[in-house]
Amino acid sequence: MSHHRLTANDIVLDRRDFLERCGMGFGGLALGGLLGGNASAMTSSQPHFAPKAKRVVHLFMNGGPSQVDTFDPKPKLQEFHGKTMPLEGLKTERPTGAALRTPFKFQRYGKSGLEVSELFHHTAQHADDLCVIRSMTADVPNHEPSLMLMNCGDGRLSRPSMGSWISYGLGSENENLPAYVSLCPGGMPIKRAENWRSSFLPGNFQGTYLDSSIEDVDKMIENLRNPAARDSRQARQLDFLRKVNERHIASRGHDPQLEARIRSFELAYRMQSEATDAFDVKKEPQHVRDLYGPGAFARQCLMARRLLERGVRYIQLWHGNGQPWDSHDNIEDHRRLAKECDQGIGAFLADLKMRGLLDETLVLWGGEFGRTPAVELPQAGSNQGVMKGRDHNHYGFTVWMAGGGVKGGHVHGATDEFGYKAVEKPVHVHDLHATILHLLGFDHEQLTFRYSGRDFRLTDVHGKVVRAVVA
Amino acid sequence: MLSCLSAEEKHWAYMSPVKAEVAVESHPVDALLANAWERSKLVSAKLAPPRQWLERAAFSLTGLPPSDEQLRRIEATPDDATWKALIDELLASPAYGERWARHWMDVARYADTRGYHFDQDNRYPFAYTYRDWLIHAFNADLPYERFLKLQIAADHLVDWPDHPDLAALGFLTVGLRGGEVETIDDRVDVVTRGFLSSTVSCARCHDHKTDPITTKDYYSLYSIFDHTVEPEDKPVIGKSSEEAAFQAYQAEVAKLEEADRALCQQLVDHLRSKEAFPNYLELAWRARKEKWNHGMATSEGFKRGRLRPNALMRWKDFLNEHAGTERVKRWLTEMDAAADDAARSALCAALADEWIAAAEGGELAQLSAKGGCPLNYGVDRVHEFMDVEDGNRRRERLSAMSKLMAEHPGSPPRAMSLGDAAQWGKAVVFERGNPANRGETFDRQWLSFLGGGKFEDGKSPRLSLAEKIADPANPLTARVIVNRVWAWHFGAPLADPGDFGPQTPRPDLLPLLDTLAVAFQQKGGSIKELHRLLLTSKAFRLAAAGAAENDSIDQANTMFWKWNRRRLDFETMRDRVLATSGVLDTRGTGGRSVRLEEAGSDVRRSVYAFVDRYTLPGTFVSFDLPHPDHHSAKRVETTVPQQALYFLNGRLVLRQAARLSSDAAFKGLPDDRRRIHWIYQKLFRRAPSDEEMQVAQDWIGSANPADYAPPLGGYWEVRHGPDEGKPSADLSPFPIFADNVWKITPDPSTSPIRWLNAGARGGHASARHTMVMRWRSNGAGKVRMTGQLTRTQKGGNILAWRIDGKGATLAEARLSPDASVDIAGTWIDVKPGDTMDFVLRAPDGDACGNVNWTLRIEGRESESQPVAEVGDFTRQFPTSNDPIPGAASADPWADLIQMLWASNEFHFID
Repeated sequence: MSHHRLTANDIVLDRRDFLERCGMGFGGLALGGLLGGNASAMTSSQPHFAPKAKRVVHLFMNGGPSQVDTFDPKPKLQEFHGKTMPLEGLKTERPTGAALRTPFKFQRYGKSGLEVSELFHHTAQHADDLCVIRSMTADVPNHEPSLMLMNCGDGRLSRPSMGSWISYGLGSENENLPAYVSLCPGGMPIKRAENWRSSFLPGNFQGTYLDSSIEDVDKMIENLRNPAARDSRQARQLDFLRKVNERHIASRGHDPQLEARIRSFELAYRMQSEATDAFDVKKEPQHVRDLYGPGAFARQCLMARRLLERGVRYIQLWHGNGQPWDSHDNIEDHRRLAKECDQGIGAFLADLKMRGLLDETLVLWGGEFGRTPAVELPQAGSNQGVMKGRDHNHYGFTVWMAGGGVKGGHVHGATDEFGYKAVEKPVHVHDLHATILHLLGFDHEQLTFRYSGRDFRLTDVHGKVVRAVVA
Repeated sequence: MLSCLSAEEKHWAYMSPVKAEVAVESHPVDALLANAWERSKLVSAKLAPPRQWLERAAFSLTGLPPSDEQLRRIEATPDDATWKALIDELLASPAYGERWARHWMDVARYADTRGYHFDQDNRYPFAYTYRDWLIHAFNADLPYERFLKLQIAADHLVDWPDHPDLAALGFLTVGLRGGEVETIDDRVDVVTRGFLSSTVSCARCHDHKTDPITTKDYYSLYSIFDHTVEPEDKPVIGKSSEEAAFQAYQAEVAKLEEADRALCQQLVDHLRSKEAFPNYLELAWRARKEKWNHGMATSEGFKRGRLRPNALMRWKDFLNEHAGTERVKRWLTEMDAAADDAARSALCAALADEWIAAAEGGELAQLSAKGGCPLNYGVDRVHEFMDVEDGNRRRERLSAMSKLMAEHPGSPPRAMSLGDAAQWGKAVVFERGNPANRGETFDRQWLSFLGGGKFEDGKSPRLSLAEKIADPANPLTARVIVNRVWAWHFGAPLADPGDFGPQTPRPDLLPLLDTLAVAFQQKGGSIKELHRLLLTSKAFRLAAAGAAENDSIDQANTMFWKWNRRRLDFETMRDRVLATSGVLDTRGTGGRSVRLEEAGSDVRRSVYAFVDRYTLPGTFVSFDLPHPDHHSAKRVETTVPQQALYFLNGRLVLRQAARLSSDAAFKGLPDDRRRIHWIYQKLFRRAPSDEEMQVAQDWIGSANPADYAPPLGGYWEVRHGPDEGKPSADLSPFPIFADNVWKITPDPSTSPIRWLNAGARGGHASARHTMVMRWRSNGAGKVRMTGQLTRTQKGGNILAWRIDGKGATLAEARLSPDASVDIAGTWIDVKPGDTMDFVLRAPDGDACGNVNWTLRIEGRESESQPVAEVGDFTRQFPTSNDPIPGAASADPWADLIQMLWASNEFHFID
């Protein structure tokens, strides 16, 4: 286990040792990459035990999707519609009132008979692959800390994101692409790059953000190409740069910043061709593109599949700029939002299954929290005279996972009869993190990084693996 | 025991800083750090070589490299006197203010746009005057207390109404505009986090969860900024550069103002017109009877020739208010009694006529004189009656005005000032942060956790707030700025600059922070004195590497036992590239913001970048500029491949590398060794080592000329000429590009060369004339032209096409009506400048309809390569006749410079 008690210096040392054993300098490694060699063996770390999943895709419904309108049916809400629910002391961000029934129809799907609302009809075609956790809980009803908790395991302090921890733990399978990619169409979620930060982990474990709404790959990744420069010419340039940097670092000892920057050039050089190819969904046959359907979310699902095939470890697909799922005013807005992503998610799951990728890919769907079964009351600036929306809810919400060693067609935990609060087998975000790391072959208490005299981990001092969801 | 407890209870940052005892002869920074090292068993790193002190100081103080002469001095005489003199020199450079203004712009969440602004121009035309004020303030070493107070309340502190210091109020006004409430919240936030590192905004909905900050604290400050107004006409605080430009600007402004006045006048006339006035009366009568709402007034008014709903509703209310007046009463009675629409129309027309012609002193004239009467609305306030469409046109003009102010060379600088509202109301708490839910009203108070108490009567509470923050007894203010300055020099703060509240435990180096804070106050809040104090310490001059055994105790270097090696931030990085390429103009400071993506901005330092908070350029994001929607306490530093791509392919880097390598002095050097030496001297201000010389020489010597030949590819020209039946040299460009096609006159049907036009996907031939799509090669190789032609008309003349290359015909055929054919010419060898033409002819006449086309060039540079597409007419369709430069001539020397700019040595200051 000592392998994972690394410091920034150790990482450099490990790598250096390896290269020296191989009789190569940094140039040697990079040359391997230039010649098309796959350097995965050099950087992939080993998990603690046999992993079920090797890669993760996080479908992030930012803003907070409502559980009682999607994956957690509550007939009782119909009965109490317009009436006060017999619940107490559940304060959320804004004032809320009586019960608000769902305007969406639920139906059973698959052999498992999993109940899913009409909003996710396409996704529900894979009901028997879904493992739905209906008893999620977080700490506070506010977006920013909840996003930080879901992504980085702490609502307030600057901590590395889960994707960074996993990239750190597993390394990259493809040296030519970033191990960790965050795609969001048309902008960024709130808290922006903090959602995929590496914090005190070395900078190369940070997520690489790309705007998936840009169709021209050369424009999506700024400065991706210099049309006038031939490959052979740039390769020679990089070779010179490497020699210069090697001399520089040799007289300065190990400095992870210098190392990371050297590597960023190797990565950038190879990204030029590999990324052009990986992100170009136009290279998919028309029937595949039709399967995913129109729109930016569908396109990024398809990009995700292409990236998974190329060994990218951790992919986040954000629904959109800001916090689209934040339906304070009118829950009907969920219909539009689901329409934007449901077909793409359904096609993505089908495509992964068909290609045999789903077994080793853990797909996670959810927001930073859920929404109240109670209606949100009007106030200036929001909710003017509509009264059909729901407030944030961290007491109970739903996420689902698929593939990557989770039980399919399975429901874990439950909220109360109104869908307000997790009451059966509650799963805190820390527990979810522990479980995800477990599926990837890591003991969440052992995947640590020593920083400033302390061993840090994703789950801090919390987290229990939810064994009941593991197949 | 008791006192010990209470001392523990009181949060460190809320107690006044106390100066630590330090021996007179020792430097306080070094003495206090030495104490901390001793306690933690840390060993200090050795002093770095003097050259590095100066590099650090130059980049840290000015954001630019030191001069050769300065480097020579410190290397020749690395004594205290030289070191101090150099620090003074750097502080006296105007570049100092530019560098430190940019730091403060992070604190002040500076941007040149207001955020999302629907369909209007979202620029702040005068945000730059705040930035320029900051540059000036740092260069002039404005005492911090003055610096602070001007940014909160300059309007109360200057003696004339267009004083340049009013620009300081940009601190409050350059923020994100997210609606009135959010704008006020933003100002509370930037003031309290910016000057006090306190998260007062957390108390917006409820008392702070962890800090002793109450909602009353928040709403006290909120109410101060709630009682401010921004003047529509911002004070002019300087002159336009040229009088003529100013005159031209004034003329443009007058035009827009006149257009605005004319529109308002039209509306005034409309309200009194023979056509509209009776309709207003009639509908107002109905609206009154039927109790219409605004929506009803909109739809019914629209049916009567776009009556403005607001005016209609005003008439309705006005008639109500004066229903008892004799003439109005009579008319109302008559209207109620009228038999039909015609009778009512007549009554309204009669009243309208009478009203317009009313003699002075009469009843109707008296009514017209009342403020609430729609007839009383002049051009000054008739905009209240504007409907959506009027509003759209008005916004267009406001946008035009904003554009004029932002772009016209004669637009004088103005301050983004604000002032107090005419009346001060009490403060009010919004329950749970909800403005609709007004809770308790109360007397505005100073922050309770800093002592509280009512603000002084008879003084602007905003000024009082500024004074309270600037008060030497305020335990936070000096610590907060000293902590920032420390972090900007040393790469890490002494205490978390984002939060000085109880969540932040007592910093290990609090005695140091406090001693610096007290010293800062004793020196009258001089930032330059603080720089002198910090830079003369040994701590500033330590080596970046130190004892390995320290790593197990304090790897993160929180005790500053060695120098924190840091990457240059975005601004310094870009400025260093431009300074070393020689293009950067550092002669003057200030001026309008420039868009960094435009090549013309290369002469300006990065502090002058146009910052669009709504669409932040990707380069800013990649290089860690904090998002300017909020105050930023510190920059995050990331290493991402996008940064590397900037140095591999970024336009600025390529452009400047080409520029430097074509420098006449460089070109004139006799051999490679001297050239390499020249480049190292330019970029690093040092000679290359023997090894470096060898590496660079080998690299240049082994450059493969084939790598520098322009890649096979080219561009297109659209030409026409008389049809000579063979390749012709007599070709002309089209004079007009409009409606997405090239043509001879605006209307091809009446053109002397009838019908002739060419677009990206198709066009029309003209009888006995040729149309030529010419591909011109940038590179060398074997190429051929292929494509598809489709006639869109069933009957008509037969056309003809040809592919010519290097003066020979490579393919030709007739093109029948209704045809859709694939075409291909034979392969030819081309070198740069050679052309290949597609020629469309109409030898039999031009009754032919449009021809749709696709035209491609495929080719390869050598037999060993696969054939690839190297040109596509539709994709590369030219929309301008301007000459297209061939691929820039590449040069291994430019490549070498580019990579030295990319190197770690260039980006990390040891």
